[in-house]
Amino acid sequence: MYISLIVGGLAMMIPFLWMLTTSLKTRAEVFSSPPLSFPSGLHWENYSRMWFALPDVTFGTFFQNSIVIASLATLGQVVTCSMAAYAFAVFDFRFKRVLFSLVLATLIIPFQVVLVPNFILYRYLPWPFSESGNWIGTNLPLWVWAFFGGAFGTFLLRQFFLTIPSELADAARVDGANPWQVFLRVYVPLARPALATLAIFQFMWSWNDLLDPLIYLRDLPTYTTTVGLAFFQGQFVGKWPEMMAGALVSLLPMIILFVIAQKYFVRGITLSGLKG
Amino acid sequence: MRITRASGCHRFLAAVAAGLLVAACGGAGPSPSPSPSASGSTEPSAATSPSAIPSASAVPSASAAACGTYAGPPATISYAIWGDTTELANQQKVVDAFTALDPSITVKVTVADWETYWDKLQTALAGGNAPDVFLMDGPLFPDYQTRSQLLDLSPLITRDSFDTTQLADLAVKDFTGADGHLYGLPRDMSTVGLYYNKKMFDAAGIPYPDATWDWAKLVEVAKKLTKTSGTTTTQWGFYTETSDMENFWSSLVWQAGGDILSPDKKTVVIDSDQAAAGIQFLQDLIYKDKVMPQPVPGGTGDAFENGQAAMEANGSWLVPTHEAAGIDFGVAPLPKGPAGQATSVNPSGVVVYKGSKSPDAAWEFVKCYTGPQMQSKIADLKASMPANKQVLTGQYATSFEGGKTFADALAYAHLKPSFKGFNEFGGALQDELDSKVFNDKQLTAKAALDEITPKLQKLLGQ
Amino acid sequence: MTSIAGLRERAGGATSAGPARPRGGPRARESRWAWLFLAPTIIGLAVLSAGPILAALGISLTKWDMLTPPQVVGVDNYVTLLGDDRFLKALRNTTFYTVVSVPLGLVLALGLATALNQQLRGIAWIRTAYFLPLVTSATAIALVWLWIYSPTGLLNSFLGIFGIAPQRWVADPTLAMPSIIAMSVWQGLPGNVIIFLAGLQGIPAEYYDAASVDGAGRRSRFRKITLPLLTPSIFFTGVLALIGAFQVFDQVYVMANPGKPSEATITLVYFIYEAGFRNFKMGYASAASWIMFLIVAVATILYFRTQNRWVHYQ
Repeated sequence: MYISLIVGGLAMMIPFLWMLTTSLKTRAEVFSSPPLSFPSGLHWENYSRMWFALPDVTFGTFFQNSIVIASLATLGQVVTCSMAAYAFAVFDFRFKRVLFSLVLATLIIPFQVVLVPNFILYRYLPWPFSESGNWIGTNLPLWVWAFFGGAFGTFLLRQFFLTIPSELADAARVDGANPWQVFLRVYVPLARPALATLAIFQFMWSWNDLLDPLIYLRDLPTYTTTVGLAFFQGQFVGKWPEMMAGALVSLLPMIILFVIAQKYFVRGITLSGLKG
Repeated sequence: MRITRASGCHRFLAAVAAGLLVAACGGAGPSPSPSPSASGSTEPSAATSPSAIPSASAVPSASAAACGTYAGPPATISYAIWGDTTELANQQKVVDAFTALDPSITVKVTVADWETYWDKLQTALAGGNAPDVFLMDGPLFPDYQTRSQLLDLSPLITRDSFDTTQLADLAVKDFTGADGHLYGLPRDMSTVGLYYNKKMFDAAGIPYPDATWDWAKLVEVAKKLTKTSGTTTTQWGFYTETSDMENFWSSLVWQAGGDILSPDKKTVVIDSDQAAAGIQFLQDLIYKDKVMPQPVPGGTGDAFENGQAAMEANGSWLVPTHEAAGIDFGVAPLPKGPAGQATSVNPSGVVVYKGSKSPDAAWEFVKCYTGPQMQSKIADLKASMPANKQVLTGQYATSFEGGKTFADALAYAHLKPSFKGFNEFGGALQDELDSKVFNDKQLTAKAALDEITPKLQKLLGQ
Repeated sequence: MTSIAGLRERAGGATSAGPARPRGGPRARESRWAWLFLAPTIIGLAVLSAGPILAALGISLTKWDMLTPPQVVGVDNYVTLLGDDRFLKALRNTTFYTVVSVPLGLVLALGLATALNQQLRGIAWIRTAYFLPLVTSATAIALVWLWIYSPTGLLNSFLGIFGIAPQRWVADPTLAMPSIIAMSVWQGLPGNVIIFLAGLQGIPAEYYDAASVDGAGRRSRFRKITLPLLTPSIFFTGVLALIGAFQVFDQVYVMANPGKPSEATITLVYFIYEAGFRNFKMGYASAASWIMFLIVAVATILYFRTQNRWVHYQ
């Protein structure tokens, strides 16, 4: 059992190993040598060629853009979902159940239903700083929505907030704190693990998103890593070493993030309280 | 206003359609002449602004001061093209030459691969921030022109007395709207020919392809040049791209006596026996004669460029790529088909976005692009055939081996079909052929075409 | 007989922590606060979800290319869609993809999670290896698999060792979709494994102990304890997987890049993207997306209905 697990683990890693070896071969070598063999020499120049292949931009630019957008989206979700979760978990008010069901229901909505209307919305929202005068061509559509709530985050955090004993909140209220202060001083600090989980998931989703940047971003220097890689792919058809170098490089930040934050991934799911 | 005629040599050039004597006049550089406003006349004369760049020795000086007379405020315009990074570098050179002529206009060039280019363009148009100038493909032109996205250039052409007859007629036709106005100017054209790897032919002792070749001869020689070792093929006799009609198969259709649409563009005729025969020939090359690699979605990479194929039927745009790959190649006309010789010509042009914020600067760029100096730069790059007649038959035809073949091919070339809705039509047709005829041998050409024609007819009607 | 209720008694009472509820009835002043906290979410619901869905319905009744004014055509788009080969193909492909990848992914993930749940040395490292695909973007993954599937790629070389002829995988109409499914399942495994792992770790050890005392073997323990108690997790992942599967886009886009997906691999989202952003047919795209929405909604509701039948909440 143990052995098969290890073998399986290695098998899972094979694609990545292959990416690495291919990225270090010469183009001719890729076709002539067996797939997983080691390159005859370490052709690191594939990486520099890939890095500088596109005019005016390098993958560094793409990373920067991805980081900015993913961070903003993460911030937005963490703030607004925790606020909504707090409301659902702690207060009683009319329509609470209906509203919560509505929020959850948005999980079901396939994003492509709202794709076109959202595009139209952004088309007619004015933005004086963009060339078009509206939101198309900017990165705004990629993160502003995050400041207006989200189903997954709200669900996750509500479950977590529900486990926080109300005595703590009561104590704070007795001290004269208003609900906002209770939120900020009691619930948020206690929810750090859940918030961290939400943050990581959202960051990852934004980072890996292909369709939205594809539609909304226009100029190459504004591209995120995913679109940049796809664009790159279109330019380098058949040139495997450079493409694999590009793919590998684009993966690195996420892999590093994962290795660091592994425990939050698992914990996050537990916290979502799947029993309810 | 009158333009001084610089020399009788130039008058002679104007009279001769195919300027084979440019070499004789080659040394004549542009001579200055007063021309307060841009002028065009049917008689070319030498005139450029004093700040003209020194032109290459083979540049014919032609229609007057089309360039360098921009008097508007400094502007920055965006110019989008399709292609790869090599193409981008090439276009940048052309742009640099333009900036030397009109320093107050800055041009920002952006490139994207073919599919992405059109996606981005449509999104940009829908979003209201399309590039000021962008490249337009002949077949797709109606889709954009009929939706009022392009600036009507005819008033500007008249205002600046720009001479459109200096550009290839077929190409100009492709950019004319239904109202007879021009909504773009052709920049260049591409025809299709047969590249051949000299070394491989020499090694096998086979004479190079020439104008006498026909389909049977192609198969015969390709078979001789296909080498296998065990189950892998180490050298292919032939290679082409099957994923678009332009690369090869539309020429085959015409060579077999068929066509894609009826002349009035109302009926789909690609299911005719002749048209099917053309496509069947290509399928046979892959599966029956086995002289070319089986296509896959996403492409296999250009076998000819990688030195793995002896011949390639493809467009004139590949010349710099093949040169850069170090292949010693020549270009012959395509092998003739049962109904004779035919090839595809596809102009691409520059159009101005109707909503451009700097239409005058954009027009200036477009104007220059089709004028002799810029066209000469295009000929220099060898990646496409200049639309400017003189530069085409002069500089381009003589600048590399094969140039004349491509230029001469215009005489028997058919325009790639161009009509509103071409994208979807072409996509459906290509999809059917890709999935059932080329990438996989599921149906014969005729069966596949019979299958898809009703749907195509429906699309045409929309 | 071993049963969950019996085990619970044995283990000494309910083990799940009840959620803490705020005491007291509705407080008018505080409900105003609630609305304040909910304000962004409500705006989001209206402007980014509910509004657009209705707008999509409206657009679907028109013919619109986004560049010229829309023309109202009523249900024309829907009628045409139902007769559109490419749409039906996309529908078929997406359904096939969903029906195969979801159960397959769940079963594999379950097996893997069970295997990984053991206290073995170095399990953390092994887990990391399995989780790598989770964090990589579909684009990068698809690129790798493009090569694995290419005629001279890894898979064919591997099969060649056993003397199996090279296949065309993504280029082959029958193998194309399964190839993409394999790739997606591979990528989705870690996500589901994590969820199942968490679920597994939530099962109190006492249950297993009590069962062993009862004489239940490993397989019996799995069937009667693990599986039933995992059903909430399975349900949860199932829903997400179901919805996600209908929305497959990235893999198909990259596999076809820089071209278009063939008939064998086109999916609903790609169809919509193509119609709206490549063929100037926004109305048509909206109609397709509404049909999709209805299908997903119905599927999800049906799925929820079955909850009572097999999901076992504590």
